[in-house]
Amino acid sequence: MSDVQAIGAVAEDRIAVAPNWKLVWWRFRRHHLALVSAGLLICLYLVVLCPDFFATQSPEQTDARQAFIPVQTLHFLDDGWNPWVPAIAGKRNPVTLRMEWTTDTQRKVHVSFFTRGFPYRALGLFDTNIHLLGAADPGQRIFLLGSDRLGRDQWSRIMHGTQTSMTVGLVAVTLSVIFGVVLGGISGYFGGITDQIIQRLIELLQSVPTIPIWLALSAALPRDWTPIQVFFAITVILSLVGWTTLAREVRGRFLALREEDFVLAARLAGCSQMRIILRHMVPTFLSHIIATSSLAIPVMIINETSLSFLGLGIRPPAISWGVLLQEAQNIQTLALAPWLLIPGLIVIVAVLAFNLVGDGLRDASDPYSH
Amino acid sequence: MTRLAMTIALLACALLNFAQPAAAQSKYHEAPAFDDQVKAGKLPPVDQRLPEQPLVVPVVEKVGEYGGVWRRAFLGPADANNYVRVVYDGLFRFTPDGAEIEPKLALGAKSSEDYKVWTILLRKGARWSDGAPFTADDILFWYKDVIQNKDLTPSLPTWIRNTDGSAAKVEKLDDYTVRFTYDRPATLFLQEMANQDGPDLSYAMFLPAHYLKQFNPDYTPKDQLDHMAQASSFRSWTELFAQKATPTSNPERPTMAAWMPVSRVSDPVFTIRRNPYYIGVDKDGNQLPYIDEVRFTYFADQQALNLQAIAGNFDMQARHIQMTNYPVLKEQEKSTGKYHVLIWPTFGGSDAVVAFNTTYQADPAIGKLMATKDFRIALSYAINRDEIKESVFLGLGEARQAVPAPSHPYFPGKEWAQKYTEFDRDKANKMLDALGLTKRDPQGIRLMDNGKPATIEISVVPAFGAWPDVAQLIAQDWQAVGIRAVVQIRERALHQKMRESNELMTEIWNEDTTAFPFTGGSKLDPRNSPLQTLTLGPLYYRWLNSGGKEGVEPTEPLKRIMALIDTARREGRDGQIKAAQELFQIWADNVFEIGTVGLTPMVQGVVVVNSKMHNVPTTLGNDWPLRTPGNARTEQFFFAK
Amino acid sequence: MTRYIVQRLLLLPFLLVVYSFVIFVIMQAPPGDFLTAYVATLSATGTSITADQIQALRHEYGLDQPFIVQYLYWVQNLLSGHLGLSLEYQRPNAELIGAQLGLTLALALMAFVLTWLIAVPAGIYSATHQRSVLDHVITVINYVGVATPNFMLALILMWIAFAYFGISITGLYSPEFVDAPWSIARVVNLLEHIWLPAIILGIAGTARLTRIMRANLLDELNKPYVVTARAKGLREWRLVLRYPVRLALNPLISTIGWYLPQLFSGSLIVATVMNLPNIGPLLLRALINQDMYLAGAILLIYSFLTIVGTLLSDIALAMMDPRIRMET
Repeated sequence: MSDVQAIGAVAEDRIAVAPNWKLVWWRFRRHHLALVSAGLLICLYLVVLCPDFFATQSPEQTDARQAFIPVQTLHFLDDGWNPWVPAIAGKRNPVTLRMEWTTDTQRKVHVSFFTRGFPYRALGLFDTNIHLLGAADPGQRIFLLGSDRLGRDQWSRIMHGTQTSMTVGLVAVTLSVIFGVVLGGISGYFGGITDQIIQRLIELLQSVPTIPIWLALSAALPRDWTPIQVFFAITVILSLVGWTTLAREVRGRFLALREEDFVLAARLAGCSQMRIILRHMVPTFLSHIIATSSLAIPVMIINETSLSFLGLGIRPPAISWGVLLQEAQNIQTLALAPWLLIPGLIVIVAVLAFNLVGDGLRDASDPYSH
Repeated sequence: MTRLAMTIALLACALLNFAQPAAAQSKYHEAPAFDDQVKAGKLPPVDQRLPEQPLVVPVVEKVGEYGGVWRRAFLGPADANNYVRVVYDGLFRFTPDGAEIEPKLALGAKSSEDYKVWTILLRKGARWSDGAPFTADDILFWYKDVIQNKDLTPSLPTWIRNTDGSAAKVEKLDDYTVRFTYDRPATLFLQEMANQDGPDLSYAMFLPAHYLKQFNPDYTPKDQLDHMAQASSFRSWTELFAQKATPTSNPERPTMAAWMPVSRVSDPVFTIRRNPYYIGVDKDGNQLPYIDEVRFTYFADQQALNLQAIAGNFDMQARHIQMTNYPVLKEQEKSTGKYHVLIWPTFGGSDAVVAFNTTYQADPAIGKLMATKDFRIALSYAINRDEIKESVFLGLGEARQAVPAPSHPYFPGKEWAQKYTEFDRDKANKMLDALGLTKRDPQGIRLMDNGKPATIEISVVPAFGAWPDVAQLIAQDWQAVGIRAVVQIRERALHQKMRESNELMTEIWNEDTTAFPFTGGSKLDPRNSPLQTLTLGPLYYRWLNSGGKEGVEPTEPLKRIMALIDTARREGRDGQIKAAQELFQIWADNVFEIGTVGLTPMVQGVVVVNSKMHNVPTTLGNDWPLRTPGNARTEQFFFAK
Repeated sequence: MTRYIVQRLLLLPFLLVVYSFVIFVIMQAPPGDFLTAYVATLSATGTSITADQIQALRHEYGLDQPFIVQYLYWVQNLLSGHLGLSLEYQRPNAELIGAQLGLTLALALMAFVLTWLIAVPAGIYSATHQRSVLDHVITVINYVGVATPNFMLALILMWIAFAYFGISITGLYSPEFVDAPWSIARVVNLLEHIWLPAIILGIAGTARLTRIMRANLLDELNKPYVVTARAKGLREWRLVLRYPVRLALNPLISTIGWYLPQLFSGSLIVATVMNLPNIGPLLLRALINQDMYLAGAILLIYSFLTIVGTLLSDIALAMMDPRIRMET
């Protein structure tokens, strides 16, 4: 055999003995867009793990004198590697009462990486005060993405918001998918009374529109719960409403697949019902589930944003993307401080990333696509 | 009508006078809109429509021109008070500075020496908007057939009650004179008169008897009424009557206001149009109002409303305009010149106060501290009011306690207004140490007697955008002196429920009743229900209401305040001023509620006025009892061509 | 088939009763009632109301009755065909809902048609021309559409329209036409205003639909029968449209029934922000102000439409996919 043929044969052997996940991974690698997105998501989840490390200051620190500071440009060179941001001076316009900021490029506030800043508890395990970046002089403040109306640093708040929103999205979708696949599968596979009951339940949940359910459930939450408890409750509420669509689609598929030969074969071979459902039927539309899930995470994120916008979900002083957007949802922000809409961009980027990864996974895991 | 035309008309009148000395001379002038109708005989001439002594309304800048549509915005039927404020349809009304009360629909009022007997004089020849005479019968109808009817009014309005709870005697002396006889001195009678214009779904004290008789069981058989109610999907005839009696939901109801509704407040556009029988004229004899029509457009969302205001689509609007949009409005004012922006600061008090529940019982340790005056004083010193002013109120207003405005007669003096408002962390720390809170936990929070860290919950309803921010700033300030504060943002219904059941620790609200401390809506009187007052001490209310059986007895300062209020209600103006000043000294000294910043335009204080609109005052007393902008005498606003 | 439909129809009244109870419970769940919300609104705009007045109103509106009495009163009204009276508007609910119905349907239908017209062809194109430039472009646009919270988009677009173009777009009509009788000019005015809300409402739906269409079609396109048909010489487009697309539409059809109530309630938040005369904002207001009869009436109609919608979509599903018909 020639070398090329030999290599080809070896490659084929490797493919033949590789487990499924390896195959999926090799195929996934080929989608560059999905790879980049996956990398982005990993970065975001790093932030989720430890937002304070990435923050430059405490997200709650207010200073009335530093409200509505625009985005500060980070310069990297100053006689060699020495990052800095320009110092700023603010004055309230006597006629319009608007805070006007001017940058003073002569005076510099130096920024250093892996610097010591405010203390925090990393991963809930140990206390530290090292941050990815921050002002070299701990007494000064830098505003990489500007400040809000109370003088709080938006960069740091976004870090914390990322932690909350991404977690809510992931957990809520996981719960939804579990509910949806299990209940939809049972409904579709068994048919009859079970199907009727589950379908009516779905109709019940679907027919009362989501917003009133949220309003009532959120309003019924005990008010003395901590933000963490409220946060988990909201997650569960969101997932309770989200599983129905998936369930119906799964049921549709099951109704169709029930008559397929391979199901009959599995039944004749003596497989239990559960095994048939999970091991044989579900994988055929796994790609559909993945596609829907990858679209559901961002929907959950948007739902959380909507809830917070209505003042029902996660509320200040807790921070989530929804809370940040809600605080930016007014004319004052649009007119005077448009950089406070940056959390919206982050939402879009995160959602984009999830969708591209989901697409890549779908294409990679689809056994028929080549 | 243009100036020139008016002059010519006057000259023509004068000439006519010369020519036909016997012919009737038209003293008054009316809007050109009515010319056709008068000529066709559909409407009597203006002299016959006005009373013998019409209300002469002074103008702010100059005599105006007829015409124009005043565009405004409202947020739905719950915003009916938007209309109430614009028309301020009362027998009496407050002056623009809010210091005096002047007659409006009524001609005047007299009282006996002891203030027990009041006589109201009405204007001879005044008419409702459908032409029927406006007489004492309209007040008597309200008295006999509305408020004494248990179905329509389950309990009497407080201001008409005698000391034993029965209704004061109201009698008609003649068609234009009504006498009220109380068994107690009714020193605040005029103030009440100035607010009996039918706000908040209540009945005005004068109703079109000739129209409403058909809906009242004293004149129409009950089963006929029930039948009518059923036909309109109402539960009972009382709901039908209520709807028929409210101008904003029934355009057919005759009214005395300058403009009469031609659509309903539940429509997408609520329009009110010039009333041909309005009793007001300017000093030149022109029948008011100048403006033809006021059009309220419905907005579901306040942001959209503000956007329209910024775009210059409203002619005079302060309601629902957010204070934080002031910079954008000023910038647009400069660049487009379409409108100018005024500021009408709140009428005294403080726009964000932290009220302490001095009868809090769920945690006795913190409850005891909150009931201690020095604790509250220390926390007042710990607050950086300048920071609040700068970040939340755009640098407007001033640091002050919850006392009346400096221009008001009840003002107790500058040192009282500024009591404990200096930002002094050292003093605060020293005072807290002196209270025995010297031990601290690892986070620096002071420990109370029982060893637990001192934690205070601040309950906030985001009714005004400023408040959650104020709460967060205060929480940080208190943290810095070792008191942990937890900000809890709640929705209104829950917050009020908790207030009533004594569950709130502290709350952020505004104190806006300082100009009217002796009335039933005052936040300073522990005898008023906690729905009105802040969480001063719900258990005091319970004690006072149960005759001492439950609750907690009010403390000495509160007892003194109640005594002062009672005294003031028996005295004339001078006595009231003295009592008020002492009351506010006690109030400021005890800081039951810590005032932060006041005299800002937080409550409907930023006004957008179309550049073409005139006679809008640049300063105005801004408060609900004044029905701002009603007290600006809206009927004399006009558009210059 | 007929037996199946009849069975479902018989269940309808029973379901409605259950729903009416659930809806009533949901509306009563938040603490307080219409009056507490009303009093709070008043105090937020700087007015006050005495405790006596509140008590009188509470009695008048029947809010001081126990929960079950209020519920039975409501049901009684419903059975006699009355949708009740709105506490806030003091007008019959049927009148309020009816006034908004036409425009709500018009807007929702526009958004719906827009969504499907764009999504289905885009999904088909995306699946058949995988990894092409246009596929990537469509992908990114879709994702951005799904990602953007549409109420945020609404306010931003309104501000941009005003700040940079001097247009103020709120509501469905310019002020002069709001109350005017129908005329060509009014229709033109409506069309001028309706395009922006329709787009905003349609964006998120388009994205989701395209993705799912694409995913489903990709699944189908790789099946052996497609290869067979191609081998047999069937032309590409005819092939794609006749078989895989039909199958790919299967899951989508099962959700089409839910468009019916969607049509009815519109998109609550966007319509509120853009000040559209829509059932959506009406419902939101009623819920926030606890105007329970109005909210209850709208929710009940909504539920009814959902049940009918689900039934319709099940029938459609059965018709489109013979495999399901065999079972029922």
